[in-house]
Amino acid sequence: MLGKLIKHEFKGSGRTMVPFILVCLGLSVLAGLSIRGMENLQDYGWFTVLFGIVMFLFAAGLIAVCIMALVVCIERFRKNLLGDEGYLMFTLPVSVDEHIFAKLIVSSVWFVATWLVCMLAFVLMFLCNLDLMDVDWSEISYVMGEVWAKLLDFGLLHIIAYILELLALVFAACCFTCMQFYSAMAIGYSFSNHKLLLSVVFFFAINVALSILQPLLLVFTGNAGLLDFMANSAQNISGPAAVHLVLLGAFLYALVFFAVLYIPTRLLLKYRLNLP
Amino acid sequence: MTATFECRDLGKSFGSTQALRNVNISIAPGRVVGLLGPNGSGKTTLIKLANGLLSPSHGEVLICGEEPGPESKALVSYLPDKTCMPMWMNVEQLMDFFQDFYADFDRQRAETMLDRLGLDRKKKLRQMSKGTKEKVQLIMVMSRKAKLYLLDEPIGGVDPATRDYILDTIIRNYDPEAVVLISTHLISDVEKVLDEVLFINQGQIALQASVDDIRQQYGKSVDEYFREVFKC
Repeated sequence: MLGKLIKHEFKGSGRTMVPFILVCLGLSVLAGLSIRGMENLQDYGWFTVLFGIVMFLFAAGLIAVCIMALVVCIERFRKNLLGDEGYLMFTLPVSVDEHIFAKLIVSSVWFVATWLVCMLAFVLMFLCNLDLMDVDWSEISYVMGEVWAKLLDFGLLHIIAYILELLALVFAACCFTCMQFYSAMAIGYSFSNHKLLLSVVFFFAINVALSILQPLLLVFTGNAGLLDFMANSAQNISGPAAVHLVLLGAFLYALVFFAVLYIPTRLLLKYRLNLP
Repeated sequence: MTATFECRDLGKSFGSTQALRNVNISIAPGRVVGLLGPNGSGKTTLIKLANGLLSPSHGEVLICGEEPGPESKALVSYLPDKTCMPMWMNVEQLMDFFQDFYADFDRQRAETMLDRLGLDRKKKLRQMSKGTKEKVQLIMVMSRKAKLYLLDEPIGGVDPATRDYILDTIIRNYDPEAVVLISTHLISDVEKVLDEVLFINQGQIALQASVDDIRQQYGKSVDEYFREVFKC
């Protein structure tokens, strides 16, 4: 059932996100062509104004797509689970955990997709501004070969493990970010009145609590022997292994704070659901 | 035989307000039951408890012997007292949604009912009138071969012609082995389709009886008897 929830979540959120992403990529092509036009024109004239407008729209598009990923993450949870649609969603034969994880997975995918789109937009702008005939492809293939050789020297398994660990860390960080909003809304919407206002208040309250808890956890785990363990590890293990340790440590740290927010959210949605 | 719908000493409080108290109900399969009571008597609370949308303060509610959860929700077809379908969906997408989540969704039955209404499947719900949205929602709910249909105020706030359409749709499409629980205060309209009634007042079940028994015992229609019991 989780797969089906994810499928419908992508349909529900994609109708907002996909047009934004396409417009953003379209604007990057336009921006690249505008830069090329500026370089080739002898007399700029009115083209300067057009160039300014296109570049402004390109920057606005990039900002908008990032903001929209966050808005979609919040609004899908609020409307789909805590609004009128909640009557449909919470009577589906699925568990509360599946509901929350479907939202978390899809929102995380959109967050990552947004970063990739921003990078792709700059690459596209650069490519549109490039005369492909002038590119020295042999030099590029030589550099790529060198990079590949360095990677092999370092250890391909390490690289693959880094990528997987980094993906896990990014996913955990995205889930943790989403949970800050979800938990605030779960608390705010369990009240009878002023649900949205209370959600905003609880969002800030949760953030203040987390900013106190996070250093406390570091001090506590440090005193509990983590610092000694890390100092010993630094002497006994290799550099690449130390990077694994840091990545896994950061992942566990994100996981702990994710759980701190997830558990009350789950309990509130299961036992204190207060649909309009 | 296991009751399709059962409440044992069920109670629900919201702060100091007791919405339901010591409710005991048992409904065998194949009955069309009216949950009748004035506004604020606890009808919607009882239905929400049966759907797992609320948790009981004490007692338990059982659907075919199961407490509300994913397993029981697969057996219950619920019509809330408001439109809850995603407005961005069109009718085709809504049918896909129901088909994906409910193994008992009969798409053919839904399409036949939609054809009777002459609805464009590509039309989004947000483009439809309130009455049409309610009809589409009812068609989705009644296109399931569920064990228990929980219909919360299905004829509230609609014109008499639509009321007839809704009641006709319910009676034509429910599974004869299922229980249909219709919550309403518009008794004269639903009386003709009911086998049994539950009178609920101030969170307590005041009466559980068959419609025939009420007519024989009191010499009155259910509507007349209800007016007498709940006289202000």
